[in-house]
Amino acid sequence: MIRITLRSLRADALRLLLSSLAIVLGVAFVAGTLMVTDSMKAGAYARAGTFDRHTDVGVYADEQPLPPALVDRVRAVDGVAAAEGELTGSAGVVGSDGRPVLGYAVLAAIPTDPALRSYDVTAGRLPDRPGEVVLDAPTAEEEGFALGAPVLVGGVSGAARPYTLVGTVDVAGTSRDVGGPFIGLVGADALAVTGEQGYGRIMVAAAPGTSREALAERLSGVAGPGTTVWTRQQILDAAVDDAVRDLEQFGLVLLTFAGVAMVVAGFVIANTFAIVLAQRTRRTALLRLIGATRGQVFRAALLEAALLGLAASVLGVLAGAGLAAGMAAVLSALDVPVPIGPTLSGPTVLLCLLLGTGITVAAAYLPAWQGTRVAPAAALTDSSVQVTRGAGRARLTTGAVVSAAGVAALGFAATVGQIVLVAVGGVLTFFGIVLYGPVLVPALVRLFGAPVRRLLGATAALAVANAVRNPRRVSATATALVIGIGLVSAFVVGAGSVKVGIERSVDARIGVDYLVTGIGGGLPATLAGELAARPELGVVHEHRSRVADGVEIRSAHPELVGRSLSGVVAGDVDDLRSGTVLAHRELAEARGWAVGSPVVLAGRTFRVAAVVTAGEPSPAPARVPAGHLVDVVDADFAALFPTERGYLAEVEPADGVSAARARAAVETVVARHPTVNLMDQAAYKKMLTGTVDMLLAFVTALLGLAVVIALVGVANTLSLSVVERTRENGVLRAVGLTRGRMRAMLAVEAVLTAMVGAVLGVALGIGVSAGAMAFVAKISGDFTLVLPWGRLAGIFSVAVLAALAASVLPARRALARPVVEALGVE
Amino acid sequence: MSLAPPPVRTGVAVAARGLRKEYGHGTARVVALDGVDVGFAAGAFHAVMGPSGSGKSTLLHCLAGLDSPTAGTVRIGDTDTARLDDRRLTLLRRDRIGFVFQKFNLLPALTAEENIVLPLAIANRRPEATWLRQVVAAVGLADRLGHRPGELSGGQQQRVALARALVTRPEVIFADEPTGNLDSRSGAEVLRLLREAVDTLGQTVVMVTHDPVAAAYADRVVFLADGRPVRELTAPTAERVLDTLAGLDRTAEQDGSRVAATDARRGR
Repeated sequence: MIRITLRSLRADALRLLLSSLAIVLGVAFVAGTLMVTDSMKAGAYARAGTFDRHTDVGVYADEQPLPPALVDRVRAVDGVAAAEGELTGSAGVVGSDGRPVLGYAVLAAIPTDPALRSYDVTAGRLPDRPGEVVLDAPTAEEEGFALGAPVLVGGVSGAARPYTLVGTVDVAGTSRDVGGPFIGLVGADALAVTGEQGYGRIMVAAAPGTSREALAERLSGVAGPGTTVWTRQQILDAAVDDAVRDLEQFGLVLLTFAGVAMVVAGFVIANTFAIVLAQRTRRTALLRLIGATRGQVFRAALLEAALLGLAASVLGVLAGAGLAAGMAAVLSALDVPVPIGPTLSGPTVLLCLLLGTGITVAAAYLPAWQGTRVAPAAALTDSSVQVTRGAGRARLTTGAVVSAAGVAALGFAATVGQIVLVAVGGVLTFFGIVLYGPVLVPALVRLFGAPVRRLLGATAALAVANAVRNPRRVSATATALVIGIGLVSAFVVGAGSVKVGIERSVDARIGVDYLVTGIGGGLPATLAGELAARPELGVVHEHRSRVADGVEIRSAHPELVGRSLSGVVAGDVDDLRSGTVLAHRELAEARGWAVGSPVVLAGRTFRVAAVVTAGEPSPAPARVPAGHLVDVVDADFAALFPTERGYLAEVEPADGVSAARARAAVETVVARHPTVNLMDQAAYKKMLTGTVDMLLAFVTALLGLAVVIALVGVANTLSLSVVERTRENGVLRAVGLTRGRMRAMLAVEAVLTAMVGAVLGVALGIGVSAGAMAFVAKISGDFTLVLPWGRLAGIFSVAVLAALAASVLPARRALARPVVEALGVE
Repeated sequence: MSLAPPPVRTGVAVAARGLRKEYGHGTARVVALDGVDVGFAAGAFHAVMGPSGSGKSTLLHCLAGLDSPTAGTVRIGDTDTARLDDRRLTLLRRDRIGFVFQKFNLLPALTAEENIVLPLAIANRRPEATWLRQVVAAVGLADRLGHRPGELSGGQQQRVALARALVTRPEVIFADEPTGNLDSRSGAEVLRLLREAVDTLGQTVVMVTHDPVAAAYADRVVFLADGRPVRELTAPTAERVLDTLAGLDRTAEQDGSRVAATDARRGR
């Protein structure tokens, strides 16, 4: 039996080649992901603890930073050879072009004591005294900074000031390399630039002969509450854990998408085996006729699946190695640090082979069971009579019930308040489509085929008839597409809705010409003052907010505040000035405030100028009920919370000043602050929505493979059908169908199948997204479903064009046989 | 059969000159047609007979533009088919030739009616309603038009195929063993219909068969042996055909190896 299986496998090798491509791609994705994350993990292990080569004990701040005085106390502890404070934060470097160097810049305090220094110096030396700086080598090189030259570094504390570049270091692949520049300063400078009151941790080197554990214990006593003392081993373990945890999450995300691709591949394989075994009915019956048991032919079919799966998995692992190199390239283009040279480990290979083979066998199980349930007498009947089974009543009933449950889950997810219901609803609806497919898909093919028929006449009519003649087949082919396209469109719709939400809230809150935003942190303390001092500029308003006594206190500008309000319940908004507040209705009602009431906020007394309602509900901070909000003028806010920094400042030209002069004035100020960015409103929206777009691009790229695999399935079904219809196609050619129209016929069949899959997928995606958006709207107020028709049409066109491409190979196969020969085929 | 007045066709409908067809190269070369000169008059029912491997099916394929000859010319009416590219040849088959095959060769996904009008549909032509009704009535399928081939008997399927061949009013209908897959009653019905198409419509029919009874329906029988026409009968009867064939078989036995080689090539 095994020999017969091998024979038939070899005979059908070409037929199965295309379908095994689905498994090859799926396995390649898994293998590539594992290889990339493995190599990233190896890199993380290697680089973990880079900055603690000489650290024996560390004193870590819990919430409040560690004051510099504590460093001196630690240094005095018995057994401490050296101790220095370290902090990491954000800052900015002014590039050689006078603009901030792009990317999130990491600033770190570098120990001056050689006993604690743990940086790889590539040129020059590390900073020994205030006023000296080191940068990472790539930044120094890109900007053309020479050693000894002044480099402008600034942070949240104030304008940038020059530091002397004394060296460059290599931090690539470490926790301090996040794609932007690395800035190393001595402790005092680092505190000054970041505006921090103290250090994040104190690194301690033990004197020779001192036990780390004993030292740690003594240090715990000195450092007191609010700190945690870790020994070297604990520090290194935590560093490795941190690095690996992130990578494992990243790997898990990738593997989730790989899983989706594998599920789609399973669909394609199941369909292929169903078709191939149906075409082989006569051969199977013949084997049964001469004495093979049903179990034998069934096991033979499974063995065939296993061999195919294994072969495809081997190819997949090889392709995965190529994919890993590609992924590494993409990731490093996205500024995710990846060490070069992904490695293929034994466990990865084993896992991939098992996975690919397992999925193939599992997918082939049901088709093999059905395909080998052949009466021996079938060998004697006319093989051209193909019994095509529709869907049974049980299947359709289940399908209807499952779809109804799925749609209901999507519809009520928001009402019930369970986001899980959205996912459950999506999956149930999909299975409903799968079960109901043999009825639904042919009906849709006919529907979409009608206008094509009008356009292409008999060619399209034949294509429609061919597509729907085997309802299960066309349904399985189309539903494989539903998974990938459904997920992509769910994300597209979700992203589109989120973006419109962002833009709306920007429109509602921001009504000025220029915006200054902090890069990766708050605005420098002096920035608003510097801007306000320019005569070219009128309104300058820094957005700040702080929660005190269960109330969110927000800074406001009398000229701008009207924009964020939808109505005035009582009083006059124009009365907002120093010493008065605008109280929002919910808060006023809860506390019984009225216009003119004296209210105490953070220890100061204010008078209520007006009770107002907000237009766009801004996301309320945790711990504060929605609408428990007051607006105070900038000056009052600064007086109440002098250290609270905003992330955004609105700037408007003074009356009569041209936009160009105003912009120049803002730029002059901003140039001194490398941690801020000047934008107009459109650019600001773009910055906020850009992240959504990037995430969407990432997700789409990862889901793309699932769509590609499903399209391979379309090509596969078509080419198997072409084999089956060799004689028919010969007849068509004989009675006058030209080669071109034969190609067109197959193209229409492929396109209609893909169209149905795409339409069902987009509909499912919209449904899932609508469920999710309804849920989000319920949680955070105003979120509406926005359908980005352009992008949905894009998905649709890609599916249609790819289906056109998928029909090329089957068409070639159909036309390769001479008419006379095709007519003679059984 | 009460069909419309026959379009009068005279002269030669199909003619072959010096027709050669070879398969393979070198020692494996097989000559299927070895310089065939033959003409088929319009408005007549022709049968082509011969032992297995005599080249009769190859001749039909070459005449019908389904296969391209190695050498020689084929004329359909006044068109030299050797000069046509694949596209024009396909259109010629569509518009000017009808086919009836041994295995019916209907499209299983289409209904009987859709199968009948298929060549017109491919040509984007609407069937004339009266003509279609006449053809359908003639082959006796008026109540079967909505059925798919799988729901029809062999004889009914072959009558659908015949209607498909007639509906375009082709210059010639080629029939390749049209009764080969049918019982004798259904076969006789199909042959009667072919005969009527010639008599009442002036249709030209060229039929390949190995059945002397079928050949007896024809006006003329051309006998092929070893890729060449060797004899002809006009107004044949089954007995005369049988006798002629017996004579050919004796000739063929003398060259048995060649026939066997041809058979092997053709996969019989």
